[in-house]
Amino acid sequence: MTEILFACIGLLLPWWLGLALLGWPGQGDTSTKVVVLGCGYFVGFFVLSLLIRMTAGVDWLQTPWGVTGLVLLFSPILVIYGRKTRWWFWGAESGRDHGQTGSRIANLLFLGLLLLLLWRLAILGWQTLYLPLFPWDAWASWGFKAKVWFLSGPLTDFLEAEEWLNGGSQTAYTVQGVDYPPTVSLIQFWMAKLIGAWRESLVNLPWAAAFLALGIGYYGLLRRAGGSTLAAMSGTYLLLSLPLLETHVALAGYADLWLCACFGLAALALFDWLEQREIRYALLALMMALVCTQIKQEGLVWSLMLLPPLLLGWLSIGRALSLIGAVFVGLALIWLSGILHLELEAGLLILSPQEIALPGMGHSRLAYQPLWSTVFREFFLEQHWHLLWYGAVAALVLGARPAFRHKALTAALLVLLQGLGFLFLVFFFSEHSAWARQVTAINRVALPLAPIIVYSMLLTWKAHLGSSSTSETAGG
Amino acid sequence: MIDAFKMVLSGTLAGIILVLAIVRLGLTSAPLTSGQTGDIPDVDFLCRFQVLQGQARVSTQGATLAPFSSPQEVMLSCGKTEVNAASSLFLTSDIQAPLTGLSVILFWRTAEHPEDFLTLDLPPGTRTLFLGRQDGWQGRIIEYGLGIRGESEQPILIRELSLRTASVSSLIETWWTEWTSVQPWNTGSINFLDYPKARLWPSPILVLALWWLLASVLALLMFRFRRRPALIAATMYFCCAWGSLDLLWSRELTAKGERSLSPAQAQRQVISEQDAGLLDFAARIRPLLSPRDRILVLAPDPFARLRLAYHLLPLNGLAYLGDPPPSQRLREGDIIVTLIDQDPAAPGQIHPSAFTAPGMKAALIHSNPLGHVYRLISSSATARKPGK
Repeated sequence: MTEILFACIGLLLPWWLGLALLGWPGQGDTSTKVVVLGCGYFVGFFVLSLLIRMTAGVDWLQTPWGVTGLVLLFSPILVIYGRKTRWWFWGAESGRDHGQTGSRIANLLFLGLLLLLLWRLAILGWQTLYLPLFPWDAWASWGFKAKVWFLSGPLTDFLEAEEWLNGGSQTAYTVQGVDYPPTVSLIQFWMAKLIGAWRESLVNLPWAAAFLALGIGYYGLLRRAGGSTLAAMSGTYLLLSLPLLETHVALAGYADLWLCACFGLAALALFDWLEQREIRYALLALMMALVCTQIKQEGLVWSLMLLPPLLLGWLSIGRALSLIGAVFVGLALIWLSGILHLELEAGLLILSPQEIALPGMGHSRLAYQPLWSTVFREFFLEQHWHLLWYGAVAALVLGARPAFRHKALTAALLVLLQGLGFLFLVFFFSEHSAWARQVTAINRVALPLAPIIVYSMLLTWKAHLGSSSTSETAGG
Repeated sequence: MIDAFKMVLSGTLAGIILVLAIVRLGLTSAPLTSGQTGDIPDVDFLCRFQVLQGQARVSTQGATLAPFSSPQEVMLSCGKTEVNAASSLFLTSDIQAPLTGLSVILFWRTAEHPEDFLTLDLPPGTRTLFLGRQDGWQGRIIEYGLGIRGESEQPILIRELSLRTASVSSLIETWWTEWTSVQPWNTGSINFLDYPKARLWPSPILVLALWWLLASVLALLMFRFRRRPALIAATMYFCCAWGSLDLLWSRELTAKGERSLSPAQAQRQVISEQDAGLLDFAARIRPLLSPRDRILVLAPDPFARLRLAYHLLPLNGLAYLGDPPPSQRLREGDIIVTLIDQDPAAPGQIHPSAFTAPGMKAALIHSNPLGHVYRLISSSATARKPGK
């Protein structure tokens, strides 16, 4: 019982830290408060992981209450400072409420969906508590690091197996995925530290809470995008009911859920900024994109996908698309010519039809692998995604035209297309196509696209319904 | 009101068309008028089963297996038989156990390859299974039976186990089984969700996606290409299809956890029986090792070596991938743990001679049925007696 209590404290303290930093409850409208409440969770855990990393060398902070004390000290200071200086969302103005509330039936449906999601959260929470670290990389890599840090001290070094065998260090450990960013492992380390024991189900509780926080943040951003309470709740339900996403909660321990949540919220915050020009949301997008880079190595690639839509903030849709098209054509020409071969300080940068290397992202030979049937089966036939990918096709086909009128939709479809291009490159050309053939990663690597697809579907639907309503009214 | 009627009508029509098409498809795969119909009647396994391993008795309720102690396997066979695989396409079973954590397989042998035992997992709750697309279910089946393995002590009741020819009821039962069977979590579930691969019916996703598309096209026609009502109809169909899929998934998700691990396994925080053995092994050898030791875990099975390294933490170990490390990398005092693969078909364990370095020898310090622990010592030193 005490352990569960400390686990709850372990969840709430970072959340509070994130809220204090972003500015919650602040002065903004209800939707903004909801957005901040959701995003605050991820920002809080990210800041906490930075705190642990910064204080790893300070012995007196290595007690269970060391970092906790820091959080307890800094959070009120942040609240006071934020209120005084009105920074970030502390200074958000109470504007109009976004979207309409609905009729009685709509309210009933809203309540039904909400209860359904809460019920689902309860099932997932139970599964998280019942199961130990279950899937392969959860214990062989992410959880392995966390357990080492808990038992041997934070941020003990990890070496590649060869280096470890050569006697590189007396104290260093070795693990699969030495280069993985430490954030997710530090979340488990933090939980274990507070609980005071390595309890596999309890250190996984932040995954269930991440599911909740993603739902809250996503709902708030859909409301700000003009969705009614029912439409926003429906979108949240579509996202959170995805079997693969829920699997990553039930079988907690992988980083993909965190990447999906942070990237989705970053992208939607950016789309919000494009429509409503509130600089706070641009900063939120930037912050969440930064978090993505610290969750998984490919988080950097996903974050970079938010750059092209950024142009829509300054240019008209036509001009931005022309410029983006020109850049992509230019990049394609450079790639086909194979002239880019640079040795940078950060690593090799090679772009040629035979190979590709990006600093910090490794090197891969390129060769076309026709894996269409595998991709089609996984995305369109098996039960991982419900009808999401059918919805993605519908959004791309039906949303192309209205996208020329709505910046947020243009941006969402741009991110979706880039994401598909990235998956196409990884699974059809790179050495990682084995991940698709053996179905070891094809689905979870695509997970960050899920929030974007649902958003695109909703905006496409809204655009068509709005325009058809207008045209039919105009037509008599 | 008329629009709502049209919407319902399009959806219903699409449903009827699709169901007819799918039933037609099912009948093509498992025709009711098979050339062999009548040649071989439904085979009732329970009438004449033999117990190959374990204990069982037959009552009017079915076959009851005696409670078995953990972990143990019970094997039941039909004995010598002659079944035509082409006409016995459906397996109907009703196996009841009070506790979870039970693993049941169907095994069979064919006249063409009598030396090969072919197996198929029967997920918990399986009622009727289509065998027509299972690898190896072909030709003449000369023996078939069940293997039941469990950890917790419990009685198991087999009410029914029979092979059947195609019939309307077996087709419908197969459809229900395929769409509602619950697959337990496995260590790969995070990448994909298991679903019966050799199934008779198309996946629910495909069926509902086709229904959505067909109903939307019909609605567009009924609304004479008026965009707004057609769009609303298409949205409704999409939500209905999604909701139906989610209903199936909710049902599965609720049962997945407890069907994956028994409460005892969950309590111990182990993810399989093999893992429980590795945890015990780690606990047994831990006192023999010191925090300064470098430990190399060698085993042909990657799960075993990685999992043991995890259980040994904070002892500093390496689950060495591949062959034993080159001898120049080893040094005096290194601990080598070799695990014995419990699968008799797996490659043999690595012999200590494979990792001795010049001037050193491997002294056995612990041995048990799961594996051996060696310490590399100077050739001139005397080996300690193996620990118990």
